[in-house]
This record gives sequence, structure tokens and C-alpha cells, in this order.
Amino acid sequence: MSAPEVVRALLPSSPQPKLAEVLAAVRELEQLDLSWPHRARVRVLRNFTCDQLAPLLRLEGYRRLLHLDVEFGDYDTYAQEILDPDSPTRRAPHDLIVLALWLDHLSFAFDANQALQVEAVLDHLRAQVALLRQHTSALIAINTFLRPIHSVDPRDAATLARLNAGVHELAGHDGRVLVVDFGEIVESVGRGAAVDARYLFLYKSPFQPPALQGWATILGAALASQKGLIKKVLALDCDNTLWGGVVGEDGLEGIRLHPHDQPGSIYHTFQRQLLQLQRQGVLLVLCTKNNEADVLEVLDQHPHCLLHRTHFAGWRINWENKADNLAALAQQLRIGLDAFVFIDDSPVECEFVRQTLPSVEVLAVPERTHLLPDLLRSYTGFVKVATTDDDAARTQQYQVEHHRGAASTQAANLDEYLAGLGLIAEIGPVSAGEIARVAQLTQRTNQFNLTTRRYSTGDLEHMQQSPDWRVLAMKVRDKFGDYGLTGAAIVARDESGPRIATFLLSCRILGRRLEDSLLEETIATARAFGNVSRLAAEFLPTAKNAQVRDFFDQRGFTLTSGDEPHKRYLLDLSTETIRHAEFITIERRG
Amino acid sequence: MPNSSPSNAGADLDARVRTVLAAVFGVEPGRLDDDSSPDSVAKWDSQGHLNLMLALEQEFGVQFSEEQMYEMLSLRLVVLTLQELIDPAA
Repeated sequence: MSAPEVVRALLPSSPQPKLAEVLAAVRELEQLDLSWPHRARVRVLRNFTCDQLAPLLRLEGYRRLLHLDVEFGDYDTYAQEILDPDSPTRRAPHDLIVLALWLDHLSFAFDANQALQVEAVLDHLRAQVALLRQHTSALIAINTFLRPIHSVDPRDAATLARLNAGVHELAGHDGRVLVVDFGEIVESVGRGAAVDARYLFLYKSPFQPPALQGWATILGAALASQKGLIKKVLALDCDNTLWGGVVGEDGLEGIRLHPHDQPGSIYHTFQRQLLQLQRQGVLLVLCTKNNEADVLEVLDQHPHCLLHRTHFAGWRINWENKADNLAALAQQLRIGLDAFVFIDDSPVECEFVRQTLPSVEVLAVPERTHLLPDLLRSYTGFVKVATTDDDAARTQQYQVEHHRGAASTQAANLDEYLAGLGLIAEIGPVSAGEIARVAQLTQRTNQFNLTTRRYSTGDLEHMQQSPDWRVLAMKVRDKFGDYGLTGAAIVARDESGPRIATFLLSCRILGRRLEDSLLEETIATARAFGNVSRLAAEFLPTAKNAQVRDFFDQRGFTLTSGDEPHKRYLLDLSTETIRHAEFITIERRG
Repeated sequence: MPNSSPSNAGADLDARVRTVLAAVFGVEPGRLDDDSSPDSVAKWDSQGHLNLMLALEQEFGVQFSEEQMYEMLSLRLVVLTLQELIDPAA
């Protein structure tokens, strides 16, 4: 068995396993002698007992082949730990720091009349978060608050809503701080199943396992997102998935999609969810056995169909098998099948794709159709720590790609075609507003990535402020459209000189010789450290970056260490001759 | 277990309790006996006891009183408490 199979065999079969099963499974999994492809460190700072979160969170990690070290600060010592430069929180680097606060246990949160002090709580939380932002590079997870157990005043609900709005607000939008909505968790599992006063009074441990599971699921998804283990494409069947009925038989008028009709309203709701995902940067594609004209007629003309052609990054509407069609879509989008999720109502198609393409995650439309909207609400594979402006424009960029493709058939050779694009690369030091996007690129880019080092927003903020790091961002546009921020390079300096720590291009802009433009600017950045004669570089192989294995060899770098597969290089800057392609215009910033 | 005789039901309960204890405390079920307690099981500390209470309530679909939570400090007492809750007539 391969490592993923060994792990999968030990995972509990139920999606909601009981605590005893989770503890047993985690104990077996942690004894496996595997070189885990991904690892992360988590520290939980808390003013209530929630130690049972650890096995649940670790299992969430194992489901994604992500080995987690989860450690807890002592009960209610979070403030000291955050202030102390020698504390575990500040001494060691973490991927995630969970600051878990229970409102009832915050003494300053209530005045003598037991009224909630919104500003006092927000000031306190703001101060903790500011310190964690400043002194760590971790993703910081905070939480909203539940109504305190002593509250008998119905007006407290409004005060609490104000407090929680403030929590969301202080988190900001830069991707450093994740707000876990405890209210949402309690709502989804039910108050009775989520919180138990016996355990709150006896053990200061208010959450029951189902609520802890909900919390672990959200944190696990955020960690996966940081580590680049994220789904990017949602492939959809049409009949009885996007609408009720079979368009080839029932016709445009006969399919069920009316927002006030049953079951049309269910599919209408599902389409609203898909639109939201698309706005968040998930690429929607169609993979369906229909006549193409029938489906396109629905997308173009059905009065209640919310999804139109423009919302899809590609489609395969034919009678071929769906595994081949998914593979073709993966190739067209240049995105690996392991970033694909597939939704179909047919158990046969679902099973066929599961068997043929095990890396694709398959979600079946529930037999009881009204449960369809729950499918995407509870699915966390698309969760992203931060959403950037680029996300909303992603589908459009892939569509523009189609038009560029059409232009390529008219050009005589590749250089002529590329010259005809009018490419402009805008390259310069990363700005504050671009940090979240560059972090996202390091987390998501697998193919054209020389080192595949994943960085958080916090990591990059630290680099930006350090004299020993330079982070370059590349924005690309051409006469057909804007590709957005699609390239990044990071140069680090130590006593032995500068080194290219990261060099990556989004798969959207491959095959345009933009890598040489970025490399030229990267070298210029290294020179700007001053008094530099050599530039070091490296290639760290992964399962996905074979296409750049010889990138540095082909550009005059000298291989200095042959301890394959890890390749190290030096470039002699006195003889270096890297020149960007003439047909690309470089605009330098900063 | 509607078809099992009372004694079988008792043996079944005992085995399920051992499985839960073994999972929560990370020991082989065979190494547990009726007298297993916080004194003899390394991970049966206060956090372990909390985990055990949560796991037992989930496994058997019961709710312990505070007194029961305090008192269930051996495998035998866990089984007796569960028997009372599941089948008070027995």
C-alpha cells in the first residue's frame, strides 16, 4: 500500500466519528513511520478547557496527509504567554496560533450589573491580536462569542451581535487573522448538542464533541489552505444537479429551476451557492453527458438559470466518459486533478470517477434533494484563508485564455504569436496590498515553482520588513486582458551571500517566456544588496515541479552540489547574461 | 440488544466499556480489569477523565449526573453506573 492508502485505511469510516474512535485512530496514525508530505505546528492559547480539540484537529490533518503537532498553553495563561518573549508561542515558529476565548471566563467583560462591556472585550482582544501579529508569523485564529450562561436579559442578544461584529472587524482582511464563528457552529449542530452546562461548571469545558468537531473542521481547512492543499475547480454534472429533470427529454421549458417551485427552488439555491464559490475564485466547469446545444440553451436562455456561459472556465458536454473529460479539463486549465471536486447525481458516474481518478474528490448529490444545499455548506475543501481581488476575476482570465488560444492558430510561429500578445510585465517589490496574493501564490503554485516553499501572510510581512529579504511581485497583462499578480520571487541574504529562496509563476502565464523577465529582475534585486559577486539558487523537487528541474541549468547557473534530487547552484554575476525576451515590455516599480 | 439474554447484555456492556477505556487511555483492552482506575492507568488523569466522560456519554447515549462523574473512578464503577442508567430495573 502507498502512504495515502495506509493512512486512509486507518481513518474512521464515519464522517462524524465518536471521540473514542478519533482518539484510537489518531494514536495509530501517529505511530506510523511515514515521511509526512506536509507538517504544521499549532499552539492553542485558551481560557477554557478544550484539550479534546487536539485529537479532532490532528485527524483533520491526517485526512489531508498533513501531520500536525498540537500543543496547548496552560489554562488561562494566554495573556502572559503572548507578552512573554521567551514563551513557547513566541520562541518557536507556528503555522497556526488559536486564541480561544470563552466570554463567561473574561472577568472584565461584565460590569457590576453583569452587563456586557463590548468595548472592553474588543480592546482586550485587539491588543492580543496585535501582539501576535507583531511577534509571530502564524495564522491567528480567534473566535466569536456565545451568549453568556448568566444572561437573562433578552436585549443581550443585540449587545452580543455588536460584540461579534467587532470581532470580525478587528480581524481585518489581510488573511492573517481567521475568525471562527462559534455561533455558526452551535447553530449547525444544535445548542443542546454543542454546549453542556455540566461540563462548563465541572471542568470549564463547555463544548461537546460535535461542536469541537465543527471547530476542528474549520481550523483544519485553514491549515490545509496555508499548506497549499486546496481545491480549485468544481466540475458539475447538469441534469438533476444544476436543475431538476433531463433537458434532453423535458426541454428548456420542462426542467425545474423556478425559485418558488419545488424542487426548482432547491436547484436555484444550489446555483446561488455556485455563484458565490465562483466569486471566491473557484473555477466552475461542466462535465456532463448531454447534447451541447441543449445545455448552452439553458445557460443562455432559461429565465431562472443563474449560471451563464461566462461563469464557467471550461466545459466538456458530450457522451464520452467523464474521467476522460475531467482529465481533458485538467489539461486545458493546467490544474492538477487533485485540485478537482466533481459533483454528480448518478451513483454510477460518481463511483466510476472515484475508481478511475482517485485524486478527484467526488461529492454525490444527496438522494433527498432538499439536502443538496448542505453539500457545499459543509464542504471545506475550497476554504481559503484570505480572498483577494484576483480571485473574483479568475474565471474571466481563464476565458480570455480561450481567445488567446484562437489567436495562436493564426500566428506562424510561437515567437510571432507571443510578440502579437503585447505582453507587459510589471515587476517590483511587493506592496502591502499584494502580500495576501503573493502568500496565496506560494501556497497554491505547484508546477512552475522551484522550491515550493509555502509562506503565510505573516511570513511575508516579516520578510518585507527585514533587511535580509526581498520579495518581488510580477503583474502581467497583454492586449487581450489582465492576468493579475501571477509571478513572485524571494531573495534571501545571509553571510554567504544572496540566494533565490522562491521563484514561481502561476500556471496561467506559462509558455510566454515571462520567467526570464522575472529572473532578470530577481538578479538585479540580488545585486542591489551591494558588493555581491555570486547568486545562489536551488531546485527542490516535488511530485509536480518536474518541468522546472533544469530551469537554472539552462540559464547559466553552475550546479554546485549533486546530492540529488535537491540541486544547488551558483551564478557568477560578473559573467551572467540573462536577458528577457524582447517582445515583453518590463515596467519596473519602486 | 433486544435478543440477548441479560447476562449476555452485561458481558456486551463490559466489553464496550473496555473498548472505550482502551481508546481513551491508549492501552490494550486485555490489560484492563475491573479494578483499573486512575491509580493504575497512566493517562487517567483529570483531562483523561473528562475525555472518558465525553466518550462514554457519546458511546452509550446517556447523560451522567455530576455525582456520577465524580464517582466513576474505576472500570467496575463505570460499568455499574451505566447499567443503572441503561436499565434501571436490572
